[in-house]
Amino acid sequence: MTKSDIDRTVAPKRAGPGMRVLKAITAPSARYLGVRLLQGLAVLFGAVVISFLLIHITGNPAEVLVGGRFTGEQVQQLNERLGYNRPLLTQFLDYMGGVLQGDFGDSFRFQEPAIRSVLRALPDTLILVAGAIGLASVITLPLAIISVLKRETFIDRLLRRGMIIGQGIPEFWLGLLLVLFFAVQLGVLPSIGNSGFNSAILPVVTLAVPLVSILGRLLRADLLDIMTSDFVTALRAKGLTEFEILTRHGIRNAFGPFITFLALQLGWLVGGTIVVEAVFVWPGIGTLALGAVETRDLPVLQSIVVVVAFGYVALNLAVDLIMLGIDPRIRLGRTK
Amino acid sequence: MTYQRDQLPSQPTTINRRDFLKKVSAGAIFLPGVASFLAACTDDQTAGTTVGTATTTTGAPGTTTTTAPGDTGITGLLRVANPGEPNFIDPANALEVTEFAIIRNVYDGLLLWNADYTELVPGLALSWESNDEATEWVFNLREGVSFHDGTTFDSSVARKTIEYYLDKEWGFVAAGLQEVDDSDPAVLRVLFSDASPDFARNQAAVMYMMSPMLIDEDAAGERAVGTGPFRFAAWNPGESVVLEANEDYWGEGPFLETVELRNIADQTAAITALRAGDIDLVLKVPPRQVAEFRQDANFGVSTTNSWTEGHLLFRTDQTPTDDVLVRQAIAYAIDRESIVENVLLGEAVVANTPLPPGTYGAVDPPTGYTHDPDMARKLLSDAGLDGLELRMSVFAAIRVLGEEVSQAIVGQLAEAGINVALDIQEAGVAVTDLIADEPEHQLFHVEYGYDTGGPLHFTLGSALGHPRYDGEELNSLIQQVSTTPDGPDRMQALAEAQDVFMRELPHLPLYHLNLSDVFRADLEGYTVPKDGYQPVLKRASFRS
Repeated sequence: MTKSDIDRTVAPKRAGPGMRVLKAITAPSARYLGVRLLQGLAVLFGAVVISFLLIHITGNPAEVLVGGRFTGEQVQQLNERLGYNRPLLTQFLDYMGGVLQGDFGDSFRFQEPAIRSVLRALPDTLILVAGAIGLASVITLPLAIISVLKRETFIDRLLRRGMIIGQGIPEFWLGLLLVLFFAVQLGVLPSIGNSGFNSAILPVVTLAVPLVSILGRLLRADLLDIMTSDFVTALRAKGLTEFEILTRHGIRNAFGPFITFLALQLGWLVGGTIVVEAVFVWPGIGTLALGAVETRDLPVLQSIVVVVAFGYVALNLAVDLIMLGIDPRIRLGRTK
Repeated sequence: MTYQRDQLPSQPTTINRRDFLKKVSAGAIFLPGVASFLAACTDDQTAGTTVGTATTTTGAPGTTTTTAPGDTGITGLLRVANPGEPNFIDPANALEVTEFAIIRNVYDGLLLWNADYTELVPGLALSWESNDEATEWVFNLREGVSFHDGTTFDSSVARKTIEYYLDKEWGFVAAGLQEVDDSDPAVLRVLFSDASPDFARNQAAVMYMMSPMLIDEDAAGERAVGTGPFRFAAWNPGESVVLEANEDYWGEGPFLETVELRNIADQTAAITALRAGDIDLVLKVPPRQVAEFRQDANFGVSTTNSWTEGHLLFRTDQTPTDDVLVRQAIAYAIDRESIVENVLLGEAVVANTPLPPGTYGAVDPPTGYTHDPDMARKLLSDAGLDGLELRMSVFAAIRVLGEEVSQAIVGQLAEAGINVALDIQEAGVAVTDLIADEPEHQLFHVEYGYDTGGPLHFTLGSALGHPRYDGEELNSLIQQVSTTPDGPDRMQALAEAQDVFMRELPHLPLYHLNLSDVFRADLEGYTVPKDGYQPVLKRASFRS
């Protein structure tokens, strides 16, 4: 055998450009992202369809809209003006076309594009959501670690029970309680509205409490699972303390499910701030949605559905990207 | 022991060029979607609703923001909890109290009510009179009045407003309008083809003089320009409306520099905010909290027996409520005294007529309904019925204890063998059912404000009036009332009409509510108006 023979067998030829592209787009990570993207688009499409059907579900939209204020004839005129008397499919295609350009029609109340009303209210809700997530993450981690380190001790049992209670507390009640104590009794925090950092404290805490409870229980369960697996035994054999194992290895493995769940909660939170926004009179999406429901401001409701769905999908895709980065199993296509 | 590769703890990854490119391309697919979204909203950013330089502050209450005290006497910021969102602020179309909170303070009418709402007093008109048939009205107008945008008020402006109203919600107050004579700028002559006996009265609460420029621009839904004590300064959609003092106001007041009407739909939140000091005035507080606030020296309470009537509307075209005996049976079965006493804690007056006490022509008719379940059962059997099943709808929007009252009613009716299923419904849904051909409900618990101090309530046929009632005797009496000018004949007809009304019961009046507004103790000069369209702020001020 010559050196060139060995070279030929041991060092594979470099693949041609076409082959490289094909490999790139069929690589496990690309497949993974591709699938996620398609799923996201499907969810978005579903949201658009649902938001469209929303306004037709309760019957003639113009009639529902006016709620008895106008005569039958005026309702007919309104129908024609808003185009609700055309065939459903035509209306839907029109609507889809509009949505793709970001046009949801004009708000019935505010005389501006519905999407603008929503995007104006969105940052306020995002403040609460981001605050709640941030606070919850910061609190959950140490709580879960303590719970696992001291598992089956008094502290652990106390924490677990606390989390169960926290998950069951109605937000309306908790919010009111906090307002009554901190705003009315002590007078140190504002009771309503968005007037800066101080005014966000109580609503964020109210949102964070059930979140800490849910996340805490999840994280604790995951960490426990990890702490009883084989590789951890090996690490203990190597001489690492429980704490070191937990923080250096346990957290990283639990990280994936944790942020996946966090992303799920985020989506829920954006829609679920209605109660907290009502209690604290916070001018976010929840308040906007309530007002839109009461006045049957259908374009605004439709926009909210799609915007929230979009945020949800975007967020989950972002999480998927992060997961791709940190979990080599996905990249290699070897998820269990 | 060998480990499977996927059981090993995750290794730190290094981003190599290939991976990076893959991830960037994934993101690139995303961006156009986001971009098109954002593009849709980066067009004209001016919301077009901020007029002037108003500030929305929730700072220290009572802040002096203008000239030294004593210069104009106008100081302070009043933060009011508006119980919802004002959406249609065009006075000709507005229906909600949240909208009148703005209109009442920014606009004036030709006439106004006196303090206890029993007599008309000059507003933008100094005097008024009609001919004997009430087909011609003449108003002598106040001179030297300007709108907030500088235009002068005169008879042509008044004419423009009246004509603007004609095809809107409140246009019926000028029904039958034949001609408006504005040849003399200081005199307004209005001619009708038929008698319009309430035209003057309707000027006091329903018709507001609007700036001609506002009408020309068709912008009455976007901003408010009137002659009133406060100027419309800013509209923060979904949050608040800000009003500022009109220093050139022709009448008494204002004494407040800025008024912030904040949208607070949840009443508990509003009351909590009042206690916390973030709000200065809360409207229509329920009886139990009112009693608490009355004991608290930190707060003032203004209470009045109002024109707001809680009543039970019947579908008089549906069995079994089409039978007057059934309606009367229901009237006997309900114990209105008990409801007023125990549910409303005395903060109401039992109503024996649909006209609120003190309004023009209101009398206590001879027919009254005491609480008498036996009588109710007797009437039911006279009607050939043995017990009854009904469905009742109660408007969710009733501010003061609507649900609790409804539940009390259901309990009382049960004692007379009438079983009622109760549905709490949103106003739009309830009204749709109210006017539907085949309604689900036969009874509707409604709380209806009385707008004009005139016999508006008698108008049959409108949705919240008495849909499909067709009793001839009452109808012809109402026709008579609507076309007879004020005077002894009209009073006579009104008395008869009320008598027949209480016998026929197109609706059953339950009570006339007390309305109470609660505010910071250092707010003076604030009185809750009888017609339920509060707040009226021109005389309000902070004690210095």
